[in-house]
Amino acid sequence: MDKRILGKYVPYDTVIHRLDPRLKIMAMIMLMVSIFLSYGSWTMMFTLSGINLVVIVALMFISKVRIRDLIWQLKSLYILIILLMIINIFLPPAHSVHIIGKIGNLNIYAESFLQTGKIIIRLMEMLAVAMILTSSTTPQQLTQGFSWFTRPLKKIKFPSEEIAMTISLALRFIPTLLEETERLYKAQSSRGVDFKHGSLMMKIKGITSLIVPLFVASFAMSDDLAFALEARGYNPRGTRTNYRELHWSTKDTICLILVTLFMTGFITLTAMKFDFIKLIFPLVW
Amino acid sequence: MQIDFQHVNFSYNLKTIFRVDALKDVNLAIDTNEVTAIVGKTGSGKSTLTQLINKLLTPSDGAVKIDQFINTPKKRAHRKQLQALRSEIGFLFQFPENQLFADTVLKDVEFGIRNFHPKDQDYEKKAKAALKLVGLDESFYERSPFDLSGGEKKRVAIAGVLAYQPKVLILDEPTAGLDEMSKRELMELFKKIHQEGVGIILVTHDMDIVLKYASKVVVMDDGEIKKIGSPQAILQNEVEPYHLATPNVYHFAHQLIAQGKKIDLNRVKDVTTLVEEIKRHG
Amino acid sequence: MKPIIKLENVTYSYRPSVEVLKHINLTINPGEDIAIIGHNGSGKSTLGKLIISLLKPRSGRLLFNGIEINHKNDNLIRAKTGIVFQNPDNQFVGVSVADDIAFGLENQCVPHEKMEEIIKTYAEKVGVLDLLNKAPENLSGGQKQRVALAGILAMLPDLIVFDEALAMLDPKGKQEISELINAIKQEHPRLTIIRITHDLDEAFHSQRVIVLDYGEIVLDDTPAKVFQEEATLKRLGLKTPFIVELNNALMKAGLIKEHEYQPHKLVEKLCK
Repeated sequence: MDKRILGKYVPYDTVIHRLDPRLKIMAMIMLMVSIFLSYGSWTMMFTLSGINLVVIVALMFISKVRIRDLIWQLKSLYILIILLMIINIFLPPAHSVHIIGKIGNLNIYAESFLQTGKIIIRLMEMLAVAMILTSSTTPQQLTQGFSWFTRPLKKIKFPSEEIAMTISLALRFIPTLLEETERLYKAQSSRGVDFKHGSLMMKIKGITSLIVPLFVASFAMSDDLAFALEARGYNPRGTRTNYRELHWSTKDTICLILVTLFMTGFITLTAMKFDFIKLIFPLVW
Repeated sequence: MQIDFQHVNFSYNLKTIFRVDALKDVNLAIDTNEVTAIVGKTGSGKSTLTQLINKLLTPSDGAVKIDQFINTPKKRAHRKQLQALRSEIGFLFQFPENQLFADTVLKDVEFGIRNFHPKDQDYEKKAKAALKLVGLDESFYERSPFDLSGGEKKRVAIAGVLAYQPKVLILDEPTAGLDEMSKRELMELFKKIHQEGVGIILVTHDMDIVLKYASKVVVMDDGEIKKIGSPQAILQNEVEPYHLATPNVYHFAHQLIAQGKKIDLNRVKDVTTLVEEIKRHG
Repeated sequence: MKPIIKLENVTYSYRPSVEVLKHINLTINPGEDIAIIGHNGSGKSTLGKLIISLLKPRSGRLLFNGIEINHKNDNLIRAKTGIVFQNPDNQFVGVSVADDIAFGLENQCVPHEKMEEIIKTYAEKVGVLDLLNKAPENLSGGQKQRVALAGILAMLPDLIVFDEALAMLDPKGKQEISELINAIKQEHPRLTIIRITHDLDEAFHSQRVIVLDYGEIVLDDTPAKVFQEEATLKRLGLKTPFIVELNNALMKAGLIKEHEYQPHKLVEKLCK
């Protein structure tokens, strides 16, 4: 089994790892917004994307997310990318003018490739931002962070702490269930289940032989867990303190200011229709 | 059946930062005519070792020869060969009762035969014979496996493996969680199965079972084979360095020897033989 | 002495027709070290859960320090008792060792500032201080059981139930946890300990042994006396502990005249 799962936490001790999860969540949202801002011309779009890219690569470098891992993630999306390319060639984006070739009656526009490129760049940037967040923040911190944002909703009886508890228990038991799945996979393979070949009926039976015991196992597990929670005095409606408290520090405030400045600057540039490429090479274009 | 491990290395998550070396240059010959026990603490590599025998795992390096079949990273196994291998090697995981899934006991026991030999028309007869062997009569055939007691479920799971008539049984901690009586009954069942010509490879922590049922012991630690020999020869010496528990008889005999008592450990096997030995020396 | 636990005529069933425990009467005094044994399905785990009110009797009552426990006041017993289960994985609720030890403290509303110190104290006591940041999937079964024990000890309990807590461990883990339990019992003589077990050698080391058979208490006495009841034990499919078996064989052979259950004293006797 390949253990490289998207968004796995990597326990380094970088500046970004030490930031408050609430700040990281806000920053991620702002970066996503700037990635998604719609651009005017192609050149402007590549200029602004370029600025984003520089910032994101810098963040990746600081949080020790390896470019290799990002590309590995992209590689698993290659079918989607090829599909995009084909769609963009057959259904060129609106206002396509630069014909660069022909297949039969079909005009091939340069814009088709630009459009595909644009989507790939956005996809990559989004993936990178998500990876920076998840590789530098434990799932628990993330849960706590999100739960903090839902706190005001408690006034309308939104069970924000129960949900946070449920999510963190689910996260805790994912590895245990994966282990159990692997064990069952091996046990059923030993008794002749061929998950890869064989007729459709065989495959369905094979999957059943995996799913039924897995359900039984998870019920048994949840029984045990319910007893364990109760024995240790957990009361979903009661009040409880938190061992892991979030600490907002000065460096979080500074980072929030920086990110906000970046985003306002970015929006301003977009509004001004800032176009670095046209600025430098007006004649070329 | 002859099983040969030749310079076998195995690592989990090879080529990643999560790499764990589970087996290091293992050489071992297992003759399934004798009951071989593989012992060692959790994580010593004994489970990995057994899973190489029916190619649930492929060595990172080296080869495991199982009669004609060769499990090696250098050669891809054909699907048919792989299924043939697995049908000859019955593998019972720890808590096999957890793998049951069909709506009736009989269907669950037939499952393995129908996977391995889809053209075999005798599957029902074979399944019934297997159920009889493990001591479950026809009143169980149509019952749901989920309504049975823990011990009965275990027997159904064992029947499900015996049904396709494997040449070897690999038993991973078969007696875990059982009381003394169930333990004894189960081990007597395996003894009977062995006498009927099925080879047994036993992975266990229970040294009393090893002493009573195995004819050869393989001691593993840190992914290496540390000792091979007869249960008596191995267990009468200190096995604590390998994180195993010395059986009570030997533990007590050692205390006697330390106090100057003459005891021939080779004559000691259980309480009765220990008392005889004490008596012999006055 | 006022009993810590009193079960009066307690009956329990998971399904209406099948009674797992039948009319159990049991008194447990503070500081007792009790082993509950019996074959698979004898109801011993159910009894363990009833004692700390994780299951409520279908009929009969449970008194904790003289107070009858029901659904409304079971937080009384919750705060003062703990249980270590058989499966080390399914009771590990925290994402790391520290979080798991903290879980009970959080439920008892221990202030955040005090937790770190408490966690460290009890992690050290059970020998997991250097593992505080480890995730459960990187721990051995024995280490997980230690963490479970630390989480309970941190609540300063009066009673701990070990529900086959050693059953899924390898010999080394078994021995270590067994020694740890003994050490804790020695340090806190007032702590009541209940060991539900298959391991009769382990049961032999407690002060009182209760034998269950299909939901009924058939024997309840000191280990030396319980394990002399060979006929009953044999009928129930329970093996006699090694030291008792050895004593009996030695007596039969005429090598000793009376029982000696202390191994080192028996060795001395035989070497004379």
